[in-house]
Amino acid sequence: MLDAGIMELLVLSSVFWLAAIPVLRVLYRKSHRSATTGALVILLLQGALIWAGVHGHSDHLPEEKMTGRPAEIPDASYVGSQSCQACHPGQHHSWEASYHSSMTQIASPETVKGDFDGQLLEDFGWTYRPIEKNGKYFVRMADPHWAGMKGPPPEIEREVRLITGSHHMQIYWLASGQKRVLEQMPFVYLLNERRWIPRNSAFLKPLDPPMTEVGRWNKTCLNCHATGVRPNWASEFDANTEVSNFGIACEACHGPGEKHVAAYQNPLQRYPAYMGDGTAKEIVNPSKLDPHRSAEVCGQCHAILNYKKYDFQKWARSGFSYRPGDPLDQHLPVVRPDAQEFASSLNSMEENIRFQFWPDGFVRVSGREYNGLINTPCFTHGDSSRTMTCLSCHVMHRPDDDPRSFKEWADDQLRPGMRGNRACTQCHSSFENEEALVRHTHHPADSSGSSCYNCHMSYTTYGLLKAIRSHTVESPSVAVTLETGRPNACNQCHLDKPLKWTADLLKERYDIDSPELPEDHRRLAASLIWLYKGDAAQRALMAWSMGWAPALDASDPDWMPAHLAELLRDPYDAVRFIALRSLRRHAGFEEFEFDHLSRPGLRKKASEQVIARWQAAYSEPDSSPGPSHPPKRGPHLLLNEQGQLDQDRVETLLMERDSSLIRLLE
Amino acid sequence: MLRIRLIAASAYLALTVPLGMAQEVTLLQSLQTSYSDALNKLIREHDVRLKPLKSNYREGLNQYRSLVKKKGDVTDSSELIAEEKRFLAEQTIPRKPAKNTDPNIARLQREFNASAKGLITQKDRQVLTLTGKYIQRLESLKTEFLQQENTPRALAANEELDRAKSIYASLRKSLQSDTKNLEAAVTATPNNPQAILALGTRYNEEGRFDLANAFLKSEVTRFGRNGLIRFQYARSLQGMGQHAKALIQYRRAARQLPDDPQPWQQMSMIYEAMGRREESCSTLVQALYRAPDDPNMLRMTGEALRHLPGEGIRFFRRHVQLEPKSSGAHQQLGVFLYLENQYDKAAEQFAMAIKLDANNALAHYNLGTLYHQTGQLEAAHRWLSEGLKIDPTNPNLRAGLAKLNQDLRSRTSPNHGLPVRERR
Repeated sequence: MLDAGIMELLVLSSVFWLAAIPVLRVLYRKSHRSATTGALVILLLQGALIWAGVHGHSDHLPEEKMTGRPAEIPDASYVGSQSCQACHPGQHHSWEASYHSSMTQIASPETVKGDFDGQLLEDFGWTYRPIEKNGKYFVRMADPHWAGMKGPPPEIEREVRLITGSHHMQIYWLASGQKRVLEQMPFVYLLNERRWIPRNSAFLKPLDPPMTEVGRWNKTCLNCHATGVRPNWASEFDANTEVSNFGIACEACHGPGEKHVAAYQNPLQRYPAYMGDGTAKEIVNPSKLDPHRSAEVCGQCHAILNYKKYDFQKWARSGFSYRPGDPLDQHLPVVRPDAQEFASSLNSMEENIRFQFWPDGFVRVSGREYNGLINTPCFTHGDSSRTMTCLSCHVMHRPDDDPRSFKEWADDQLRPGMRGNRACTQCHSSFENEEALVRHTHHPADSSGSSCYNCHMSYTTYGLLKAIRSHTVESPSVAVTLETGRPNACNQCHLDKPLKWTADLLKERYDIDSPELPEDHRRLAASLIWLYKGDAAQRALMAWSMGWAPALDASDPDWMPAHLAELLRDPYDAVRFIALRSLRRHAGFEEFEFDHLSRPGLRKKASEQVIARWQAAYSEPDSSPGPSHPPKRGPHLLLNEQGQLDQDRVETLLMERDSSLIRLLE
Repeated sequence: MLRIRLIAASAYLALTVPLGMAQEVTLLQSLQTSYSDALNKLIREHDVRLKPLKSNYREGLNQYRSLVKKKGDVTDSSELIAEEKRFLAEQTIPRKPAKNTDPNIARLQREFNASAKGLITQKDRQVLTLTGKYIQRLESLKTEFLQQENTPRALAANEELDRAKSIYASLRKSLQSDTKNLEAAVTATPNNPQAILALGTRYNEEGRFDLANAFLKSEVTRFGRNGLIRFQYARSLQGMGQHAKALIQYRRAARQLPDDPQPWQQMSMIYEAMGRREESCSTLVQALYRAPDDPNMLRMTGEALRHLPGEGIRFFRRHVQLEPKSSGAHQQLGVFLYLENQYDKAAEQFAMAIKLDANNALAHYNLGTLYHQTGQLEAAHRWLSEGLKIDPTNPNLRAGLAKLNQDLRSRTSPNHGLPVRERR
């Protein structure tokens, strides 16, 4: 059977010949030779047309006929972002500049950023080669699903059809050969580092062999990485997935636009609306919703959901039923840290959910900020005129008067000025006064210690191979730190101080009673306790903190490389990656060569090299001009008076390490 | 070397596969053959390795030197080289190690002998284990034959049992004598980590964990950076049931031997014993990372994921990809596919297992059961019947066929037990 595209070419070709007959007749009358030449020219032209048609054919298939990937087709209610552009060009443009718009993209030379240069990628003995052919992208590999009995698995090529991510990393999705089902390439491309890493290494999770997950995009990713989804899901190998838009498009936040478009297509309705109070019909504007409803619009994706409580059959047909403006809880089973039973049920929770919280219900992973927000007094206090929502600090369309470039704005999509204390002084205006601020913070007004964020939204969530600010506003508490293991803001900046130091200061300055402290926390820098004895998430946070500029300023960082060396041989790939990045921010290690994915033996060697290099530099007398500034030493940093690392103590701490498995699925 | 390992492994599997009694009758001959084959090859390899060591002292010295170098004890190695040069300059090389009056050379000779014997320890132990397992199987066979009042076969089993026991006794004697040599080596050279390691390993292999622990406890402090000694110390703790302490020591050993899969593998076994499956799988994956093409490791990892068959499949699939001619590999992949409700693919794998080994009764049973459960009763009958021909007294096959016949009579939908997985 010929498909419709080829039939179309044959019909066109026939029409072409019919049109050419009169010309040929005229030429024939002149001479036989010119008629023959004319016929040959026409034949060549037609051949070229057919060639172009066939080769350009698959790229120009209508979406309805597209196989090998989900189709991007507006449906009756979701009209697609292109329908919004005509009337809202400015908003459309700023949305296009945001990373929301490019969260999922069709693979093309414009969108693919990875090196498809045929390099060999290897993990656990499985090998992959990303290659490019005529502007298309493929992965060559031994057939991962093969299980025959005649020799080794055959080599196959799978075409890259979709991409997720455009900010930090790109994940590539391959045509599985089953309808519109995608399977995942087991390597991801880090955009800043310009390198491939195993997909499992991009997350904080135990070592795991690669897996080309068939159907993962069609079942999970599409819920938040596309708009207006119809999974049409039967099984991992059978799904005819359709979406209105790849990426997080206009209707993800504003709701289905069909009625709105219908209402305003008529100019008699459109112009009065422009002249009116700006309230549009049949569409949701999250900034005008009640604060809780507004936050829920973001919460539909930025929340931890218990999928097992969702009606799967219903989802399989038409995706989640939540629409912006609806009460979120009526549609999606959000795990609520403020629920009374939360603390008691934490241990019995499904593992993947439990991992995402600290023991007291604070969120531990990035991308789930809604759960953090709803646990914050600024959100729960009940005064809707002052309720903090996502849009208090973030803005989804860059304001026209914003001096920042689109790229700069798109990084966190913060409102102008919201990187500073303005975010909090919108409500807590007394701290606009510098004296009041200093009296409260006990830090100079222009220092990082007087930044509201740094003390009340510290970096205790993890994601994207870095630490990210908690979105639950809290005050530093030694008691909570001891109870949960979550680093407090003071010790995350003053990395050289024990918890005892923090407890004493909190008592002295804020009259906060100190809890009973274990011996280690009285004598040893808290950062080192977490770095050596902590679980993988605590180690990742400490690895990141030792490269964080305010912490380096506050803690005289000379002693840190000796301890980051240990994290270069951490069992978790992500921890090693972060430790290396932080190490390179220390003097003398800027160019330190190390591949965090190298064999364990090489990691050990690299760690020993760092210690040796650090030791050599650390024991040198300070020859810099100005007042003498001896490097920090002492048992609280696991250094003896000669400035050598106390290896025995380090070994002892390592033996007490919390080796429980951590899986932070972002 | 690889072939020998494979033969030993297949002999081991043949000895441990849980098959029915009647099949044992037919298998007796093949058991004898495969056991003898594996045993002879192991012993032959010993001879090949020992011959030059025994007959040529110079080569022995070189081997010892490279052994010391490999362990990184440079001082010891350079002393050795100097002494060797002096020795070679002073006299012609004897074809066989002559009695040496030089106390230094005598010391070296003693150390070398201890190390050379240490080298063969592992193989001796393998032979002993293989023989022990063989004896166990023969004993159970003999009991079964006696219960069946099948005197000729019981006599045949008894005869073979006597032969195996005599081999076992002589091996045991030789091993005990080796232990004494190793103890003597440690007494003579108390600072030689090689000798200490060899003796500690021997104690552990003999199951004398208390002794190994008492011996290695102080040594592990003295040779704190020697990961191999620490590993043996951890093994002794594991043997004594001190799992928490063993885990700590294995972790330290894993730090000292970063590319060695063994500490991780042992940790996995401890976690498994403690019922901590997640950790068991995770540590096994660490071991697999260090030996990614080891089919046995893949199989173990897959098995460890039996609670998550969807995850386990990829390990068995990889196992099949590395050993496409292994009937057992296809058989196990089939079971996991079955557990994931991928019946068509599971049936394909069972069929391949049968094609590769027509006597694989387990695969017959599993394929028959799968067809039975999916309502293909005629096909089920065919495979269960054929399985029963291979192994006429197999209780699973008998029960399966009986149930099937009942269902065939009533043509009702069946629902009885899952396919049986091959035991490790």
